[in-house]
Amino acid sequence: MKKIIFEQTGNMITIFILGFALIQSIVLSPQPTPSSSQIHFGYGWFLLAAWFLIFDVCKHFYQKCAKDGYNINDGEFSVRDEREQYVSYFAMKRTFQVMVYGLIFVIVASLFFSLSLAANVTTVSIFIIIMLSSLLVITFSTYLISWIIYERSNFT
Amino acid sequence: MKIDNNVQHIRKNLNLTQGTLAQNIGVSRRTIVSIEKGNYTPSLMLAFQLAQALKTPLTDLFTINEEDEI
Repeated sequence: MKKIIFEQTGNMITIFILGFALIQSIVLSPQPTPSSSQIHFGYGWFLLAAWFLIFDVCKHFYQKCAKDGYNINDGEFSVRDEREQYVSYFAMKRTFQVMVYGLIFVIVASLFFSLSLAANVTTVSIFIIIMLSSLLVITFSTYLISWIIYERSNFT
Repeated sequence: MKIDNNVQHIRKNLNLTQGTLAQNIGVSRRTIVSIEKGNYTPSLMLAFQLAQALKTPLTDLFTINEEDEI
């Protein structure tokens, strides 16, 4: 269970920083004109790169020390035995359902937001990034919570 | 129909801890706990591995409880 908490916490932090870096770039970049467009990268991207490095080192360290079946290549799908394989399968199934409903919600919400009076290119872009980042965090949380619940449930 | 098991009883007779048994057959301790509690029915492969590790015939380790049959 620890490996799933470790991986999903890391994934959620990654999404927070990625969302922040994307929004920062949108805010810092000048509006595109018909003849030119520019992207300004803020410090959020350096923060993201630093986090990737830290998280990767932590993953290697965890894999080496914990010995609970965690595998860097498999990440949250790391399993130690057949029971964990079942747990992972059921958690994945639940996560897929949540993600599909979440995506439908994001698409519909984006449509309504883009048609609203306050909408311009910048606010719509920020809105979509916030919605998609939130959906990813919800998806990671769903997998984590489902994994914990199924891990403690009856598989007979 | 339910499958009962004597894993805990036989393991204790052999003075094996759950952790040691888990390590011997390459599963997590939690899996041994789940099997002993009857919360998880192992695959045939894992059942054979358990039987081998506990030096017990498979039929002595797992029995079908037909009382639960509807």
